[in-house]
Amino acid sequence: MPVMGALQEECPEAVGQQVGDGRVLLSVKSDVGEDGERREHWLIVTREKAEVFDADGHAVRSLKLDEIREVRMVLAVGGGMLVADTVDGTRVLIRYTSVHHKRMGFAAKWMNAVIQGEDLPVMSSKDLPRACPKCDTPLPDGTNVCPVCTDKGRVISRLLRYARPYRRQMITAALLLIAATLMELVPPFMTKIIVDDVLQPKTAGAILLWLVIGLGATRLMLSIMQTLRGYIGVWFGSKLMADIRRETYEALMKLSLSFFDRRQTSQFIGRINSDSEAMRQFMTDGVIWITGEVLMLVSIVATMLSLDWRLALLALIPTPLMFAASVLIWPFVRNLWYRHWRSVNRINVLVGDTLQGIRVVKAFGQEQAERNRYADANRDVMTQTVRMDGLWQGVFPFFSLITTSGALLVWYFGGWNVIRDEISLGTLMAFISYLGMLFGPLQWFSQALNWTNRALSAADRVFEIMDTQPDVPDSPDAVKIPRVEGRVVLDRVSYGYEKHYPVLKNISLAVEPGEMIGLVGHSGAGKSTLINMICRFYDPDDGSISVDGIDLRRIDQEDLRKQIGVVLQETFLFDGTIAENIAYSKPDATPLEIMRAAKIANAHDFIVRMPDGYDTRVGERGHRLSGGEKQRIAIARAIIHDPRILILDEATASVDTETERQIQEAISRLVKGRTTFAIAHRLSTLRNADRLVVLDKGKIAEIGTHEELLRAKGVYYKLVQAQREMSRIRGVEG
Amino acid sequence: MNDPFQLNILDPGSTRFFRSNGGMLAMSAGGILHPEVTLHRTFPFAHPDRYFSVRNAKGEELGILETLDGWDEESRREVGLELKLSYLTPQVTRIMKIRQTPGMWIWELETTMGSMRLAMRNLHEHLQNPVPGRLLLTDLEGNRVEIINFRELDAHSRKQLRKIL
Repeated sequence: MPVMGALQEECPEAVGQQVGDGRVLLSVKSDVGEDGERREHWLIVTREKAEVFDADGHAVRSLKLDEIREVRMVLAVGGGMLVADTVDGTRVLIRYTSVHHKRMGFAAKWMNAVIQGEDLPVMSSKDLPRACPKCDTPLPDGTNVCPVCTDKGRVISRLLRYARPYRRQMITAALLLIAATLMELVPPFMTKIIVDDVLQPKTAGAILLWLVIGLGATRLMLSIMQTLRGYIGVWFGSKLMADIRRETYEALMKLSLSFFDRRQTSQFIGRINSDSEAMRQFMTDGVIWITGEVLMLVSIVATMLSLDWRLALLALIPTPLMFAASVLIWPFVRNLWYRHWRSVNRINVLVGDTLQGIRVVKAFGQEQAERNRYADANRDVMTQTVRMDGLWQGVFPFFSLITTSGALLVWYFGGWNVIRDEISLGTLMAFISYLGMLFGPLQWFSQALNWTNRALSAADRVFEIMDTQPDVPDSPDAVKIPRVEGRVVLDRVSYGYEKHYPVLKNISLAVEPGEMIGLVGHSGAGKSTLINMICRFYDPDDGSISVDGIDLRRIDQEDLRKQIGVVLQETFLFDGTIAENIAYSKPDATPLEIMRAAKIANAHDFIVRMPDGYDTRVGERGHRLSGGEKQRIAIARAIIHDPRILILDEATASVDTETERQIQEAISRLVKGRTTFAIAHRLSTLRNADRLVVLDKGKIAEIGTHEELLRAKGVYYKLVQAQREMSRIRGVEG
Repeated sequence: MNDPFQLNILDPGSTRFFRSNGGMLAMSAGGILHPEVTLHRTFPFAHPDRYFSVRNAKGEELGILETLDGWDEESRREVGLELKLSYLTPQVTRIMKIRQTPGMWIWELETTMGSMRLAMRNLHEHLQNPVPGRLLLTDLEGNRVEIINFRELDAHSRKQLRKIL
């Protein structure tokens, strides 16, 4: 009888026959043989045994379930293996590549549950990689929209959607454009009249003056309309760009911390601007120009046809060549733009990196090395620019050559026609002028190619940011919570920054309102991760965290953060005054409230002693504060926030003993009545904690008060001993 | 016991590697048996065939295997096999097609682990060039494939790559 919800992948008949019908409880396929070659194997679990078969049904391994103590995954690069710890040593069960990770993870969990006699886990969608049912492309997390199957024109139509609020302006611009276009057709026609009706018959007089005035008037009107249209274009372009920039920034703010963990963040500074500029250029210059030029093209061709259709056809003979060439280079251009962008991005990342780490660069005297690194990246940008712009230097002349060859034909055949008196000289001259105007739009065509491609590749990147789903989404039934009591319960929480590599394993902890918990452990034990989970910067892979009995995933995030205050080791002060920094989470705080908070935080005195007091500018361009001063401002910031749950992450790590005492004092006032989680490197600072939780390799090793743990002589005892040793050495040295 | 702050370079004279009954790589060093050891390339790109870190099941380093020269036949064979089993990143043998659809790059590849189709949202985050000639591709799911040296791929593959490199 198959167990509900278990994983049963179809195996070859030969395997099925070996095991026997209906006896298979779990069957998982893998793709690596014992020799490291690609071979299909099946792990089959029945009530008695775990066996591995090859495709021909030969048993490769066979283990009795009651011999197995635990099944675990051993990770390798690009794959891993399931191994079983048995009474006589560890045995390899099956090896696999990373595509089978999730299924193997489930298989291990399931087998362990069977062995321990626990409730069997049920296969959930989280255990399987999700792919688009149509084209098999893996779906991005948190969405069911397959990016491959979506409409091809999507990027352009999405881009154009930004123009929708400015329809009126766009239509006005377009109407002006049409009027201007038609008006541009007038001067050559006037020339024709002047040549044919005035100059050739040599009947000068008032009519010539009027014709010239008319010519001047059309030119004037044309200039006015162009100015107007240009202005509208600029206005609407800037609005549009502001919209795109704002949306991108909003999208960035919405993303979870894990998105930024994996990326060098300074790249976004330039990206937001340059990408939205590329998109704007396409929409204003691009769309309006292209429409205008297409319109122009059509009207010129129509006029030419009406003047002399044979000459018109002659003139147009080479144009299809141009279209063919454009279609040919189209894919290249887009790739070239992307390559160009990537090299520019690389250089931006490099500069961002170096400047952020400028102290390290200077301290190690590595300016020359950094200059070289920059020079390399710079050379790359140069190469890409040469390629990009070089392409156009070739394309433009080529396009002109094609179009002018049409003019040659017109000069020759048109010239003959004039000599034979078949057409008037004026017609030929008008024709030549129109032809000159025709080349304009055709050359613009190549520019349009350029713009469109640049905009599309920029839009791709911007939409990617907008489409990225935050890893910690607000659930649709998220509840608003009132001020909480502060009871925090972790129930069998497991989490890994890289899936399948858990940093926290099966953590269960119940914290009463107002209790202070000290988190202790070696670096890398998972202390900071645990705190990040409580802030809900990440969601647990397994298990749940609740505040006052409500799962964090069901709480409106904004509401949740209102209840949580943090003081971190690296205090970040924003560009602004001290008062603004203290009132960061409560911009409407009164001066008295700000001072009260600073007083509690032991910050009031040093702030008042500064010449600019609370109005002292800090941050990037401002006054330089010491680590301890910044820390106390951060504590004041947490006090004014008045959270129910307080998180102190190494709040006193980087200060001297005297400052530490002051901060400690401030903290002891801050934690009163709040549920507090504190990490401290110096164990002595956690003495006030109600309970200490000792983490070791992602698991809770011990829980108890300082005295209890010392008596237990476990991990904590060793940590304290080690620290005493260290301070003894320091004492001798000092 | 060795100084924990010094690298322990394994000595082929007193150390050997073999495969345990359970199929795990095992090491005996100076008479001590380590029934389950793993190998980690310390410089997977710069020195793929040297400087392996040998670790026990707890992940503690037992020593550094500097080079395979001078080791006995069995040790060399088993270390070689273990490396193959621990580095399962498929290697690209041929690039069928690199295609850009709106918002997605699709790579159709032939690899040592069969044909694969990788989907990535962009190239600048999913394509790395750790050392000249070598390319590391990561798809949306985090699967990795490697191109050991793109200059040695066939003409068709190189043509596909030229579109983007």
